[in-house]
Amino acid sequence: MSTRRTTARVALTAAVGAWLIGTAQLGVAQPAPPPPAPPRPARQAAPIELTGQWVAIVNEDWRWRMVTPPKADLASVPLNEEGRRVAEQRDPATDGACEAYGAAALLRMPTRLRLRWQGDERLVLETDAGRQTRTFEFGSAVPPAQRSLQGHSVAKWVSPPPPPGGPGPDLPALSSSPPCAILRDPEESS
Amino acid sequence: MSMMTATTGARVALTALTAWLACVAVPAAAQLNLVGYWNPLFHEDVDERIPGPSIGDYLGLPITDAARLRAEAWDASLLSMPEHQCKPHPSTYGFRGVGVLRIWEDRDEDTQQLIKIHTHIAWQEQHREIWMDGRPHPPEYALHTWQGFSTGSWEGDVLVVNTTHLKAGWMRRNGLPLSDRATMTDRFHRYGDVMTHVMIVEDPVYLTEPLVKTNGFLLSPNGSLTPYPCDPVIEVVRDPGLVPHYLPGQNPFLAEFGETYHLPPEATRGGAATALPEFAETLR
Repeated sequence: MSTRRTTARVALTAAVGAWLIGTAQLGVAQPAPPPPAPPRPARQAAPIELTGQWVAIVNEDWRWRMVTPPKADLASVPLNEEGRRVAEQRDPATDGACEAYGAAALLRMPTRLRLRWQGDERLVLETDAGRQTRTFEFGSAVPPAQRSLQGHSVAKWVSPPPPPGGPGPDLPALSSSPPCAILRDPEESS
Repeated sequence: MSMMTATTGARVALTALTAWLACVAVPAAAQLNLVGYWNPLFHEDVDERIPGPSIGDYLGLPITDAARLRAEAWDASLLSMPEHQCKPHPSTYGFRGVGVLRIWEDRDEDTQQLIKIHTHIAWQEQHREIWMDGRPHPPEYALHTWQGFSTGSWEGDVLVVNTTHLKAGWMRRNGLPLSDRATMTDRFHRYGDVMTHVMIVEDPVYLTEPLVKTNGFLLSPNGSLTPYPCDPVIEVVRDPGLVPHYLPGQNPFLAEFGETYHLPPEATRGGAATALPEFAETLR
């Protein structure tokens, strides 16, 4: 009888202990979390270090990036009918020289580039290909009145921070107001 | 305490331990769900991936002289031999193929811990297992396979996979080889219904630098896979022992690709320098 009681007591103690430890681990009985800290400036909140000098490694789509592709070589670009019509009518001899360096294609160019902070809320990207400058606005920058090749890009950091030592989240940017730019710079048809 | 009581006590303790584990065990820190069917997008390297790579196209690839020599000796007729007909792509190349990709998980039934992520591509049934339970890679002398041995972990919302124990395969299906010492780190980024797969392949034998490639995928809610049984047959009757190949300097097709696209041999022959912006200047 005494042994049975002891066993029952052990079982009860173990079960209660397990429940208490378990609920503590799950945070059921934890006090309310402190209020969130005010947001830090984008530069300080950057979970990854993007600044520095970078070089494009052109080991994919080489034929469209390192040399000027033939006119109407539109393979793999999901153009609609209008996009195709414009591409096929384009005359490289008469248009400007910089359209290929628009925001949508700039980072596909064979280029060296520099990323640097300008203040705490603006990341600046400069390329030697086409000598372009693109800015990523983390704050509440007002879109410019005029359209430009690089457009107006709004950025924010997303994803939880990675474990120490690992790479961090991506930097999505939404670019608007580019002028009429091109994705590929076709050569004059022969 | 009698033997019976000791056994009962041990059982109670085990029950309590199980209860505790059930309370504290939470799913592995999988921040993202990649499960589903994914259709490949071919916005990168479409020439290589849809019709298949051209003979002699090594543009921008950081290959060694040994890799180039092997590729130049390669004869596409090799693929018609029974021994080669059912070879799947190695995991270092399969994600660039044309097949639908299916991803699913294995979870422990009791704890719901993520044990393994499977990827499967229909063509030649490329089935890959990515262990998520923290196990180490086996010793070097363990079996090498087409898909290799893969372990994964989460870095934020990104699945990062390390692969070793690959069989000698290819980095491009035009004869460019990859050795059994190659390793790969791949990263799966998901943005809504789009997934970007980044692969970084290293090979001390056939690459002078890591080879970085990206592959896009689009989620397919109604996707499906078809079986791909492969039974080798005699496609071409050959003399016994004959293996299609070209001796050095005798491959007549190497120049075709460059001639078609007006590219000089120093570009099509590849090498790390051909991937840098400065190389574009030499072509003007």
